[in-house]
Amino acid sequence: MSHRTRHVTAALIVATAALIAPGLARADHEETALVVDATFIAPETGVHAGAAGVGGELRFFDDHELMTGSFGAFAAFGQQGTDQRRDVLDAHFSVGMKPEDAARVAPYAALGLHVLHVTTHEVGRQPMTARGTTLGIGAEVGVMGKASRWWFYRASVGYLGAIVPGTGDDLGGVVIQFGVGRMIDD
Amino acid sequence: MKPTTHAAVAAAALASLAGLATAAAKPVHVPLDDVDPLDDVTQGLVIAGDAEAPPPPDAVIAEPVETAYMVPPPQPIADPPEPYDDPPALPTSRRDDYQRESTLLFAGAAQGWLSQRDGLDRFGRGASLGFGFLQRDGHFPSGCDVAATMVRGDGGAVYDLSVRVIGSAKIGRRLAVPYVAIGLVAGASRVEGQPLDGKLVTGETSSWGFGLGPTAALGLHGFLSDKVYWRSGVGFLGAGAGLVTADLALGITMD
Repeated sequence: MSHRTRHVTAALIVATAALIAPGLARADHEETALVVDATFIAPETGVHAGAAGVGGELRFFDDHELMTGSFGAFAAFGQQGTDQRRDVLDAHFSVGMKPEDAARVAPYAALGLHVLHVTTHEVGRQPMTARGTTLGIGAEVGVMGKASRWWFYRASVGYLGAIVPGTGDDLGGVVIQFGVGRMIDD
Repeated sequence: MKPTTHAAVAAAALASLAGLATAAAKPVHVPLDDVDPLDDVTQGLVIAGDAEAPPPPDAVIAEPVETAYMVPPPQPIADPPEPYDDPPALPTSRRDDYQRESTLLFAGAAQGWLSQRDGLDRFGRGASLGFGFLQRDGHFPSGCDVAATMVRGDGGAVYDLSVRVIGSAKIGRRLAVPYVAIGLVAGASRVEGQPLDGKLVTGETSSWGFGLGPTAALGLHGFLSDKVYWRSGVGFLGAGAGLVTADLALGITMD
């Protein structure tokens, strides 16, 4: 499978999730936002140059509830710069906590279970590619809220803990996300 | 007994009965000052004995009132009622003044050791983030928590997510009481080196994977204030590598 094919596949997965999500949300009668996230995996010095991509998530957000949760996915593609480049495809479910009665600015913390497909490209003297699927644990803190009746925003910093299949490295994943979305079931 | 004796006894008996009857027929005189018109017993006595007994309360004859087409007399405008003051709170003991249930968000630092044949080898350090629910009433309050624990070091790395049930000694708002927690943990782990002769020899090889296992912990926890929670304990994370951990965490109540 070529680079381009994999990228297109990842984009299609994210787009499909985005199309299906509104229907799922209406079925649940939850106050829900559909969010598109810009995703960055911070570089780890001397290991890889980081990765950047895009993701989407269905965020359950109720002004008056303590709990919040999300189903989401992202695809981040490794940047050139070191001998190693790492692509990460992720699908996750997370549960978090925020203050009650906070609509505009709600700080939150969340824990997630991530299903990851990681592809590692060694581009040094001995080029090779290792890939595989694994599970990871995520912890994130951030802020989110309703910018207006319909518009939703989110920013978070988290750590995605996983062992990279094929190499045994730590994913080393400080994940930074900025998202903008729309309330779809207010 | 002789007939004369019989006659004497009969005469004495009749005299006694006559005396009793005379005494019963005497009216009872009650001073009017002592009459309570609301006292039925006293009224009854007065009615029986005196002519000037006050009428009973329900016998008051109402004056006829001309209600038809009569303009009611002007009524004075009443002053507005005084603002209602909340009744003073009942004095309660500070010991009883706490939330009966708390939802907690906590974060902390953790240290991990890997069990070896000749003891525990230091594995690495890390952090934890979690939230939980704790019932604070009762002698043996219970709760649950979900926490992510991430430990990295020279020995490898462990990324675990645990779900535990907590049992505690009576906590209320106490500063430190013992607790025990037990549950399940899932996580990814990598251990550097390979086992050789019962001891982990670090080298070029390492093993990794994702596992599911038991977890348990024992320690102290409590409330530093109404909003601030703390816990510290030792435990075991049994997914994959299997770490013995010690952790110290601070938290806040979210409700």
